Amino acid sequence: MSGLTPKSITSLGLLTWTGLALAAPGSQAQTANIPAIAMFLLFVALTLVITYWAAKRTRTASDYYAAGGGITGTQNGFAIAGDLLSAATLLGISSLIFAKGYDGFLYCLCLIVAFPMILFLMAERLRNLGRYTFADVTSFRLSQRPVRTTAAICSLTVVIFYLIAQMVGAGQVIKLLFGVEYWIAVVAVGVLMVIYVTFGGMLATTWVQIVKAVLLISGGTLMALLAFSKFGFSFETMASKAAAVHKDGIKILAPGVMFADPVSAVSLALGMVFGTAGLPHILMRFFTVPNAVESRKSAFVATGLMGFFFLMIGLIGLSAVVLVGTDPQYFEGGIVGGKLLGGGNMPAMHLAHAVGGNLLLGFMAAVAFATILAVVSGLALAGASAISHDIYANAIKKGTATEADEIKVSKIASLGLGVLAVILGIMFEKHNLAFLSGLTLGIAASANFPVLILSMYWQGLTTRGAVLGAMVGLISALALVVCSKAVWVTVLGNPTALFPYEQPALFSMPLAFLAAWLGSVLDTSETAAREKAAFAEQDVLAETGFYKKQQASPTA
Amino acid sequence: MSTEIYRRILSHPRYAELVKRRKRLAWLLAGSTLGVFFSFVLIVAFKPSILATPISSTGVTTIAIPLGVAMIVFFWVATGIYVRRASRDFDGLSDQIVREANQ
Repeated sequence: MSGLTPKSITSLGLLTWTGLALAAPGSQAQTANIPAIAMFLLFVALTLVITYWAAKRTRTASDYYAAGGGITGTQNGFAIAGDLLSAATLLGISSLIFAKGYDGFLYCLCLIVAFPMILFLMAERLRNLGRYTFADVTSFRLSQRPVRTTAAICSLTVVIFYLIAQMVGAGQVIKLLFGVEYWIAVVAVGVLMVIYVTFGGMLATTWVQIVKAVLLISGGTLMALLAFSKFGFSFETMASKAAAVHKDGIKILAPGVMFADPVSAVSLALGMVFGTAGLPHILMRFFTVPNAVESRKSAFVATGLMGFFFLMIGLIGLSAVVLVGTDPQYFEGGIVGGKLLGGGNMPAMHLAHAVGGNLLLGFMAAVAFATILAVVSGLALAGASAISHDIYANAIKKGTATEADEIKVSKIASLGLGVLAVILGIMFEKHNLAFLSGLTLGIAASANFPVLILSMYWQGLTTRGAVLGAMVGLISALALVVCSKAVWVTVLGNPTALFPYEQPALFSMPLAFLAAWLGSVLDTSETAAREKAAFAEQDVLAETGFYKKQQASPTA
Repeated sequence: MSTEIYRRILSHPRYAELVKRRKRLAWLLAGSTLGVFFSFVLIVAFKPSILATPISSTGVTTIAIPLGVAMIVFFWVATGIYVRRASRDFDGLSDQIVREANQ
């Protein structure tokens, strides 16, 4: 690993490019290949330059995990927004709006509301109490080994499921947009991800995310405005035309089409809000800023950017109902209302072609690829940090590992995660993975969020309670998803689902809180008493960040 | 050493005031954000027809659309209020408490 020089990074990158470029002529169907590939290669070249630059500046563990705490609030706001604005958001939500109307927009509302909550309740405390991972905060006054191991297991579960979803999506989208083989696309994403993370650490991962966020937000805005201009910038005109041509008619302009039962709707909202607030790669971003002031600013900037982009997504989805939904060239066999060319996730891409021709389609395709790369890199770094910082350095070595060893373990871990992601991505190509997004957020909401928030606000939390809460959250969320229709019936082929609802959070979150509470109050040991007594000092630190303010100057 | 500073911060005359005021703001904003959002979700879950009311008798645009946009704006403004109040009211006080506790 450490034998690889920056020079060999570039040649590795070149290999990936040639892989893509060679594979490209194999498809005739995609007219947009050339601009898309050109723009994508430009993006990859830029990210490799960023990685080279970041690699030279990444020496200590703090550089590697947290970009040395040198990211500004505004930059971090872009990076956080970039993490949440994945290809699933761009393609998935716009296609949901295309298919179901307003209900798709509800997903946007659920995702964005997480950030005010993170800001009001968590952002400053995370920054004041933690260094690299959110387990720094949960284990602050608790027993390191059990709490960190549990947190790492939960983080890794979330990261791996999230990675599978991204990898499979990446393979399918890239195969379609660039005309390359599925496995080549998955391998290319895996290789680039490992390069960014191992060589450039958090600094490279953050800047790749920032560059992508700027590209995605500007490309999406351009597309939305071009589409909106076709309706004379009148929402009423667009809405009435959309309602006139959509099979659900006027119903698409209000919520309620998609959710079969109220329980699933509430459970989905809970899972999305608190799951987002429990995603390890999002939480990790709050450690890359120098202080609580910048930490606050990042949540403000991220909320604004996401809010703006979600409004654009709304325009994209609704205008696609008219501009894509009535145009035979976007349907298989030219049958309007039949199957969309390339599948259900493509309305945004077809819209790019409809309003901006092959050039805009090429640009948006390159942005979609870039988005996947940036998001998987953040995930891989979060997973690798859980292994190296929580499991290796603190649970196994009990804080005696050298920084160099810790970074080395992290780099090996990210390589391992890269290989695993590629293998799983290829294995699950043909599977229906619709349940994965609900599962990932459900687990994050049940296994990570309750313990994290209790550790910051409840004096009574003990090690036993924290471990029990996280485990009950993890297992109940997993079990409920396995017993739901999406897995029990669709994947496993049973006739009826054991769990009648689609989303676990409404049940698994309260269970996790209950387990954490019970585990804590029933713990009458001396250790538990010590842990409860240590809360007062932790709380003062959380409120004031006094350790950090003592230091003469911030670390460079 | 840190324990000693922590005790001095805790016993600082203005520390309790800082914590109380900041917590009040944070929970007020968190409560209203969640309140607004989950009221909307509950309407979607149990009585979505309310949201399908058109905003004018001649158009098709429903009240759900301006409400959705307004919620996004509200969430962002709420984060803005917190950031502004925290910088104006709390950072100076917090710095002062830590500085005096260190002396």
